[in-house]
Order: sequence, then C-alpha cells, then structure tokens
Amino acid sequence: MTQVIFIQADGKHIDVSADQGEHLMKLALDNGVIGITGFCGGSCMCATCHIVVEEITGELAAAGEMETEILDMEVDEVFTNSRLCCQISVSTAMDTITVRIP
Amino acid sequence: MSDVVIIGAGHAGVAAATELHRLDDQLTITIVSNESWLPYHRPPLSKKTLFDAQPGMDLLQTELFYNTKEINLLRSQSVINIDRQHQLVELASGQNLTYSQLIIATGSCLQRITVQGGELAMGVYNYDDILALRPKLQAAKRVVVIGGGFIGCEVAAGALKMGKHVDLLITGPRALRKAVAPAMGELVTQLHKANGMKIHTGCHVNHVDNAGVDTNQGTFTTDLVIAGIGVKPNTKLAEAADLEVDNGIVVDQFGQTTDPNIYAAGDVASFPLAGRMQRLESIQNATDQSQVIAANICAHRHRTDVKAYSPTPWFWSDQGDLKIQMAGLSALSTEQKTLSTSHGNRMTALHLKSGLLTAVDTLNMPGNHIAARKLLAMPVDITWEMVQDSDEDLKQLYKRLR
Repeated sequence: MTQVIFIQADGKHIDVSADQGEHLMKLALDNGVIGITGFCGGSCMCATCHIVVEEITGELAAAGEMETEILDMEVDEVFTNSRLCCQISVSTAMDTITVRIP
Repeated sequence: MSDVVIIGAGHAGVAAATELHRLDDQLTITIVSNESWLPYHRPPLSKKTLFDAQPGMDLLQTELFYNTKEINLLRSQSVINIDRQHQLVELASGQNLTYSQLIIATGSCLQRITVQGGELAMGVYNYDDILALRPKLQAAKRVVVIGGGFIGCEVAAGALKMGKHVDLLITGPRALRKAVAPAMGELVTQLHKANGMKIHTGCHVNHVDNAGVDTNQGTFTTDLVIAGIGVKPNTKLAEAADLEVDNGIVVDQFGQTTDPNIYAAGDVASFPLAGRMQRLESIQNATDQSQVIAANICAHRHRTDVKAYSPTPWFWSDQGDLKIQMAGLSALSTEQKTLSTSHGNRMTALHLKSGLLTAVDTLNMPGNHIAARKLLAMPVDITWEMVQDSDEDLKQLYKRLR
C-alpha cells in the first residue's frame, strides 16, 4: 500500500491508501478532491488534473512526451515538479507521495 | 419542483450539473439517468475497459456529489414525455418532475447494421455493453470488427493486443476515412496491418450468422462479431415535444432550443459553428457546451449577460500504440498538407480551406496537437506560408504569435 496525500488549494489534506497500479487522478476523483476534474478521463488530453509533487519517498517515473507537451502549452503556471496526475500510477517503489493542487 | 431538470447522465448532463452547482449552489437540480450506474467516463470503454483484466468504471463524480439536498440523481428511470406547457417531465415510473429550465442531454445511440443477422453483431456504447461483450471477447480466438471509424479501430486494435485474430471490415478505401486526412488514414491502416491486423477495405457485409460474416470478399469465420458503424442522436423526446430537430436538436449559439426554457447539449445538439449547423460527438463538445449552457441558465436567472458557445473542437482516439488527435473542423477543408517533420509512425496533417488552416490531425505528435488547438483558437487566420516561415513547427508558430 502506498500513502497518497492530496493537499487542496484551500489547504485541506486528503489522505488515501492506494494499491499498486492505481492512478492518482482516479484516486482524486473517487475521494472527491476539489480541483481535479479529469475532463478527458485520464487520456492525457487536457490539463484538468494538474498537481505539484511536494514530497515523495520512493521512485516516480518521469513525465512522458505527451504530458510534458501539455504541461508546457496548457498550464498557465508550471512549477518545477508539476505533473498531470492521470499519468502517475502508484507503484511498489513508492511509499508515500504528497501532491498539491495549485 | 427542481430549478433545473437534466435528461441524461452522460458527460454533457453531469458537466451541466457540476457547473450549475459551482455557479449557484442554491439551485436544485435533478438528473434523470436511464442507466443503473453512477455516471462514468465513456472514452475508456472502447480504449481500455473492454480489454482490462479487471474492468472498472471511472466515475465522473463521487456518489456524494449526487446525495446533497441540491442535486438529485434518479437512476434506471426513463423519460416518456416532455410537457412544455406545464414545464414538466413525465417519467415511466409515473413520477412528474417540474422544471424552470430543462436541459436535454440524451446523447446518441448505436446505429445497427441492417443486413440479415445484423442483430448478432455486438455494439460498444455503454458499460452494460462492455459487461456483455468482455467474456465473449476473452473466450474468442477470432474476432470480426465491422466499421473503420474510431470505435471499430479502437476495438480491433485492443483485441489484436489481446492476441486475437482480428479481421477489420471497412466499406471505404482506408481506416478513419471521415475523420482524418487521407494520408493519415492510409498510414494508420498500414501500421495496423504491420501489427498483424487483417484489414479488408471495400468490404461490404451481406449477412451475419453464428459461423461468420458473409461479404462481397468471401466469408470470414469468427467467434465474435462487433460492429462500430456510428451513432445517431436520441431526438425522439424533442420531436414529440415539437422542438425543432434536424440531424439533432436545433439550438442557437447559447444552447437554447426553440423553447427558451429548454436547452440541449452534447451529442444530441445541432448548433451553429463556422457558418453551418454542426453536431459533434466528443467529450470536448459535451463538456464545454454544457458549461456554457449552465452559465447561460444562471445568467438568465440572475439577469446578467449570456455567452455564446464557439469552440475549437478537439477529438482523440487511442488505437494500440497509436494516439490520434484532431483539432478544428476538417469537414469543410479543400486541401491537405503533411508536415515534413512526419516520419515512421508520427505524422501531422494540416487541413486548409482557401489557404487558411481549419484543422490539424496528428499521429503520435502530441506537441503539434496542443499547438494546433491554441493556434485555431486565436483570432488571427493561420496560413500555410506562416507555417512554413516557422520551419513547419506549430509550437514555434504559436509562441511567435501569442
């Protein structure tokens, strides 16, 4: 199990335990995280699941081409650790991950 | 009594409810769904869910969203009549729902092949279809897919990846004939073939039976037949209510039907865009149009300004390792050009009309797709010369113009 912590724009923390393979976007939607729309259902076609990775213990695969392009072109304010959470899935190499919704 | 009643709980219906609630959390909203499930994302069904070892649905909203005092989701209910005079919706259960404003978001339904035995061909539209189809697909060794559009190609590519023998039957000369530039449709066809998909173009089905599919090119024996030959808008309720219907429920740029208290959104709505009436079957359209309608309903209630819906349409399709993305409207284009940066399984094709850019199709070139969406939304006309002056780099062109 991996511990995923979402920090909403209003400062509220939402703490979720996740199994391997689960996508962060689906976790966010299933747990009613405010600020994650997931308009395209996780197809990496929009930028409505933009998050900033604040802290991680373990490993996180780098953003792919599509995700990088969308972050570059669609997101108004990109941070160093900006990601689209539909492209992040929980792996056994990841113990905890804390993400902030900008 | 609800302030707003929404018929249909697909992307359009739920997007409308979400936006209405965001703009005015005092509004009471009732959504009528003819499905038993909580509303879910549809694109993954033919791209992922059908082939997943563990099928599941991606919900549009948590159950909590529909359990507030303002939002009421009625599941497994069908609307039998819209009574415009009394502003009420009659349900098959006998219940009546009165409304101040009504949004018709009834979506579309599958076209069925009309040949003998056509009912044996299974369709892919909703989650129930997936539940019915999955076990048959898993058990099958050979699959025939009829239809070379997005759904046909997505299902065929997914079945191929599962290790099935796949025959894809297409009436036209190549896959995606109506959707993308000819050069790209040809490339997609060749790439699927190279992966082992058997694509039969110019292929017309005579009849279907339990052993296989009989066509003008012979009989294809198969364990399973799947048809993806398009959808038609669910306009019956609107027609019965005497709203104007012409290939979809006719709405103006504000999403209003011929009855000012009734709006229509998503697949079912025909709206003015680029000088003609247009019906779009896409997530972008369902969501964006509903959001504009929600804003206009609130504007109407609070007597503020309404806004027009004038989108840059976009679409996508995932077919195995191919990501096909389209921006703009290609239907009216008269000329296509392929960018010189295209190679291998990557291609960008531009659609032009009178020398001006109207749409861009990309295959595995996501940067160009995003740039095209931005460029087409700009108030300036984009010419082929401008593209050439930017070394055929759409991102560079956008960054120069913005």
